[in-house]
Amino acid sequence: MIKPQKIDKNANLNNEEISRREEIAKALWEQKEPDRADIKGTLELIYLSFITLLGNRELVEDDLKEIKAKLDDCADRMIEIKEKSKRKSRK
Amino acid sequence: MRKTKASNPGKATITNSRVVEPLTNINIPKTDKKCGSCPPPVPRCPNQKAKKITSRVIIPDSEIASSIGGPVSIEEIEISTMTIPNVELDDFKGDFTYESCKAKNVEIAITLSISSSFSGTIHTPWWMPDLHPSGTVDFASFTETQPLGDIEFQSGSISMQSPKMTMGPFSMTPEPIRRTIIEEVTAEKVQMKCTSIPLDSPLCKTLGVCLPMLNPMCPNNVITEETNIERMDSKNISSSHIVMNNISALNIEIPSVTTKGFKAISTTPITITTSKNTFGPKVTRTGDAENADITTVMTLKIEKVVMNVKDGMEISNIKGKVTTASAISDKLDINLVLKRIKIKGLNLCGMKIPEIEVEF
Repeated sequence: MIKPQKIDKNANLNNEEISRREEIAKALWEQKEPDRADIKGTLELIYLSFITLLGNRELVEDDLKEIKAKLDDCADRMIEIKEKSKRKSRK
Repeated sequence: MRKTKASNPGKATITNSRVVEPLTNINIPKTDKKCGSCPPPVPRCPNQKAKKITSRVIIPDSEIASSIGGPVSIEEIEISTMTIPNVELDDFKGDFTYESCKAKNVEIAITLSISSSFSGTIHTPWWMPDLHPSGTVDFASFTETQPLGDIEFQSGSISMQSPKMTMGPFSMTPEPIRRTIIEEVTAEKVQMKCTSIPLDSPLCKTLGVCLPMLNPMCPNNVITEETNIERMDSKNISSSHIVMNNISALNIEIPSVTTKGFKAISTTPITITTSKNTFGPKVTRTGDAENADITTVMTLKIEKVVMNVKDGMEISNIKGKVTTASAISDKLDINLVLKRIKIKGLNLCGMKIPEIEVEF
């Protein structure tokens, strides 16, 4: 098992984002039914965690908005694919 | 010294005796046929009833001031099984000390039920916030058995005390006691009342001419109504050894036995390894433990165990029995004094006097 590095996981995040990240993480931790996995929440969590890896956030605010929109679209698409995969076969 | 056989005796006199049947050849006062103060003798010898007794000599009172004899050697004394139904020992107390004590090959079985709680932080990968789990895990009871080896006890003492200790029946079977020697036997103040000697032959009735007994006297039964011995001493009774077999003391009851404080030390290193799952049956979880399926291997290493019993042990209401196959005494040396012995109805069965010599 790879031991995670101890890093500042709240770097570059404002209080609202920190709370949101904790909220999403708690919801995912307590999620007991895989079918209801919060895909959107998971991608949002990755987005918020990604911000903590940045140097100067202000320099890439526009890029962050772009990547956030793409992650949201990606989440919607993943949910569609998941639901599509559960439809009955036409045959 | 001249010896005369009683079948052809010289002049002899017997005083303080009485012949039941009247004497005819010499002038002696007639006596009471019913023996006056002496009751009829009670025959107890096995073959006495079959023998018809026509007459008896009755000796109402005879005394021996003292007698002394010995050494007496007895080749063999047979004693039957001795049984005492019940033995009570008042104020029984037994104190014993011991230098060392070792409990050998001790095994310890510990039944445990573990309850654990936890709280802390789990550092997650970069894209996850750190987790702060908390909860409880309770394991159902389980038993671990481990050998402890030998346990050394420090020196100590054992006290057995009881207001009353009982046991019974108590029995033992002595082997015949061989080669017993009594250095000296003395008896003082021997009194015999109503000694009765049967007279079978009509030829020997004349007192003073012929002794009033058979001569030679066939085996006869001599009866003494009562014999009193004031004191009988047997000095230095000794025997080479005594063997008792099948010694048995049953139903022993001792209310309490106590020991002083002691310390038990085991220096046997012990390693207890047990594997437990935080999930599955016999595990109760709460909080974040419900999301953790972990197998733990717990290793407990014990280098030394010291058990300090500060105030000792008290064992109550001890019940049991003691049996011994045999007990051997190397040597027996005792002095025996019997006082005020009274013997009722002493029968000397088959007493035989083949020849009497009278010295003048």
